[in-house]
Amino acid sequence: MIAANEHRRVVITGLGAVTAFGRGAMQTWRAIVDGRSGVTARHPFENSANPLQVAGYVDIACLEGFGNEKYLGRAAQFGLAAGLDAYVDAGLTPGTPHAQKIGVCLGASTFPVIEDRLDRLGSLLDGSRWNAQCYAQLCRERPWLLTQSDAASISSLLSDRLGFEGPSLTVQAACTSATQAIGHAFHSLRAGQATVMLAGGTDSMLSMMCVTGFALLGSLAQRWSSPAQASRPFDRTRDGFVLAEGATVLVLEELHHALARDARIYAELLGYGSSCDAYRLTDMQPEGRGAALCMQAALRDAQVLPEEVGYINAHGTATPLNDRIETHAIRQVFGSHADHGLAVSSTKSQLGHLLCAAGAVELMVTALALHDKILPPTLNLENPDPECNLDYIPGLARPAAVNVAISNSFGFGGQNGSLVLRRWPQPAEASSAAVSIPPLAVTRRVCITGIGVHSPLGFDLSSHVLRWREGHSGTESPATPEMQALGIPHAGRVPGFEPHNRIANRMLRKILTPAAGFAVAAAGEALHRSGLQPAEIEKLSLFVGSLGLDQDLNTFGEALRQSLEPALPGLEPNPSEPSASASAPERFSYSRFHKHGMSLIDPLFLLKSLPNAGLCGAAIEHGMQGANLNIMNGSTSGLIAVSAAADSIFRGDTPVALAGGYDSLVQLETVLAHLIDGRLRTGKEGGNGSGYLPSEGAAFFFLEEEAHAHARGAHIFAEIAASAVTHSPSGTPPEQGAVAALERAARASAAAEPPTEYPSCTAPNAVFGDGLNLAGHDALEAEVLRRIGCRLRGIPLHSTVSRLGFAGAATGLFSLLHAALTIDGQLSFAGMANPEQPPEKLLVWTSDRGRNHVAIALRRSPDTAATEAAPCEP
Amino acid sequence: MTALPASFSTPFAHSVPDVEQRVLLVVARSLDRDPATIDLNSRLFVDLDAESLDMLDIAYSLERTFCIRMPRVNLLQRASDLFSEQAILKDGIVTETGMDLMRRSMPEIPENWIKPGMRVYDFRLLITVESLARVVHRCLEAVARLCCSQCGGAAVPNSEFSMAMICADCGHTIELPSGEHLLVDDLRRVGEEMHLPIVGEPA
Ligand SMILES: [Zn+2]
Repeated sequence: MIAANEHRRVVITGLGAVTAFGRGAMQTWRAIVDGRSGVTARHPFENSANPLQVAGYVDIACLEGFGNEKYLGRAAQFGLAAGLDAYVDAGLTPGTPHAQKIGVCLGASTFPVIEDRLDRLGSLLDGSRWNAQCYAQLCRERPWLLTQSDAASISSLLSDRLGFEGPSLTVQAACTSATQAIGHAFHSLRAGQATVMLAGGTDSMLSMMCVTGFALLGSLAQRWSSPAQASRPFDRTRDGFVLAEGATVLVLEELHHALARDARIYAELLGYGSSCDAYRLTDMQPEGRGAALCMQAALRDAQVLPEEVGYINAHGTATPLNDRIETHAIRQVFGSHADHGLAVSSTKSQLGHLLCAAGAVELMVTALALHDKILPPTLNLENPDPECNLDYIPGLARPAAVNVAISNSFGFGGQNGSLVLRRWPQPAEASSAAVSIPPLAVTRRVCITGIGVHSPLGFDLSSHVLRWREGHSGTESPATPEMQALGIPHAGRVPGFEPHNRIANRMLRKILTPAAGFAVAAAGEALHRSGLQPAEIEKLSLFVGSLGLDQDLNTFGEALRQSLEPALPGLEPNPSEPSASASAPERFSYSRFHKHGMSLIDPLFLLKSLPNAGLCGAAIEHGMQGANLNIMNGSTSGLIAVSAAADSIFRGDTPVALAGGYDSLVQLETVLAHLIDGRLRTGKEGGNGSGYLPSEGAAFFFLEEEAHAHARGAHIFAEIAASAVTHSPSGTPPEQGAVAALERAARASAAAEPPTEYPSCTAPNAVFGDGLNLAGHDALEAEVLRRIGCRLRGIPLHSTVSRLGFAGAATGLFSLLHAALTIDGQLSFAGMANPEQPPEKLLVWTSDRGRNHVAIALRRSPDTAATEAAPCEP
Repeated sequence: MTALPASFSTPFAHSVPDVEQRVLLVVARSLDRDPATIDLNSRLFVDLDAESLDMLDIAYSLERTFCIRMPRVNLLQRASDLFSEQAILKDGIVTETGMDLMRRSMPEIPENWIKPGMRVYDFRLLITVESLARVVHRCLEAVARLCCSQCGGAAVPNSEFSMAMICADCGHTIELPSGEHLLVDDLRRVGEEMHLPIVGEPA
């Protein structure tokens, strides 16, 4: 048995993959060992008017028999297939008990597939702007246009299919997404929060605008003579990466759980490290600082010496910069060992770059390399580069029994991640004593010592609080013209945000969307208010819950307009959609797009829409190079990020962390998603159940181990006593998962209480929840409160939504902010027992359409607590 | 950063100083600097702290401003495609021939900036505001020489489409010359001057 305070060991017991080589982990692995290339040349979108494009295409036919998933996006289909296959491969079956201890954590990207809208383009564009009403009409006819952009739904779908009630998470860290997802899942298994996690990534960015975006950035390989030779990592003639699509999901399992059911073990997952370059959005730090930092962090986490590592599955994208700098970073970390017994190869030479799924397929390859004792090659390494001078296993796979291996991922924006694997079973000579399990230290206490906010009420904490106290509403700004055309008169806009006054870094001012700008500025305020020394800021961990989609479709308006040509008579767009032919006098022409349209698109648009731009921007602006995680889970993202940050302090990974998030509901695509779901309030009057107004903002919290805060005399706003994240699979009542989250947070917070200082009562003084003014969600919320006993005891529900609007991921954070300030005595709420007496305990929670739930229990820190304990029940 | 308005109707009828001034304004705007603090000899990556992303943004803004297509490739990479890698680079270091080729191709750069030991990626460190102005001017000259492939009529700006010209006589669309082709043409010319044999064509 494992003692409660011991770290668990984690092994890989199941694999599922969908790649250019087909469906099935072994299908991909055999092709890798055989040294084949999955890169082919095709006319994109089966349209020969397009120039040939090389990529690692998945033949969707390999998913046949998978069910009727017609309206799922490609990435969702890949991810679902890989996840289900991995689960079966692990010998687990749906209905496996302890569903609340099983979760999903996937890296995924989100980008509207413009192709699906092109048949109506003539009527969708007013000049070079999207016509909101026509677009709304199209989205009502094809609701899947909007759900396809909801990347967070992929992990949720997988959890649904398998009935999991543990966290169902989506991570977005550009090309490091899957590695971060696996790393996060691994840490939660090791801490005992779950027994099984399905972790990995899925991606398909081969649609027109995505390919255009990468091409405009100059990232793609161009100087190729045949498709199989286009991806040339570490070769002197390399000039960019080859895009690919696909998915890989790994079943990560707590060791004893796996042994008890006699599961096949592919490898042991030993360690994970992450870092931020905190340098530039696309250029890697020239010395490879971030890359070296994350490899070192992973080795430390794994308690492994550099000399023990025999193989590195490199990020190896084949961009001139990455391969040179990664080589340099490997030399820094491994010293002379880099030339003696350390082999390195790039799976991207065979598969291309799977972007958000790359880290997962590459970890799978690394695990199988250890398991089968054969190291995969680097293809196309024919012209040695004097600056890439490691043993890259050129051309052919190499038999070798390696004990420890690393898989690297480095992403756009500067988020890096490394995972450390060890062969299973261990060779006989390695004694069990060599496997040291770092103990979990005594329970730590986590508190909030800094807060920053950008809300419709103001640019900083003081103005937000002042205007809140004065009773202002944040939802009286005029909505965008598009929203007004849709009948939404007002919105909660952050008023007059001016990057020049808020952001020092020139490039960030140029690149960041307003929403990501709020995040950078609010993170800066929380950091500033914490009073932390610069030396500690450099190592600071950063946890962000981001919006899912930040793309202004008008960016492409002019380019798409110029790509229209008169419809050919007799060639109607789509007979099954009669309205299209009537209203579409012009048709989109791919050849016009390639000839004229592309040159009208902002070459930086893809970077501008990165959902991890807020995290990377904050890291760059404030110089934070520590561990990091970007959660992209819809409106629960923000509180999940705070929960993950608190967990990392509880575990002892770090004494301090910055956590928060941002969101904006004002982009047309996002507005429509809420409008068509019947959630947005239209018209002037907002009666009962009429929904909410869209809003935006960011809030960040400086979290700190209590002892650390005391040592430097920091002001403590409130203590985070516990948190919980759950998922309600479809078919179970949503309140079940929500109640579980709240109860778990409440109970854990009670269990963590020193018995003498607090009355032993779990009931909070109030709950800070959603209050969305939607019949269904309000009923769910009421039922949850009734089930945890609040309604019986008259415990009030507090919500900011009626005055701040609904700001997605930021709304949960606004709740946390208000709860923390209430405990600190700076705010009060209606229904407070005694306005002079700040409450002892508050619960903060949010739920994303009944799918995902997160709850955080706050309490007054003993230092700020009143001498006499407040009664636990009014 | 939005492009400057393409407000003039005859994009190619501009003097060198006029082009230089407009290029300087585009660079200043893209790099968020006071134009008064920049001059033609300012090196983008060295003196103005430009990043590679800025170059994409600047090239895009220049294209929209002047109605041209800028080259986006590394001169040395194209040169090694044309004249063989060995002629231009040895162990990743630019050869004497490569340096000579750079001096001839970038006459605006002081000769002593091009030093032994340079690598392919050091090339960008040389780029000045004047380098960009020279390329823009080169593109504008090529635009000025355009005429209709159907009737030989004069090319005039296309009111419906900003990134192509139109025949004044027959209304046929006239594509803008590709900046990459211009760059390769110039490389061929310089190669001829230097008696460099052409061994391959750029991909
Ligand atoms: Zn003509």
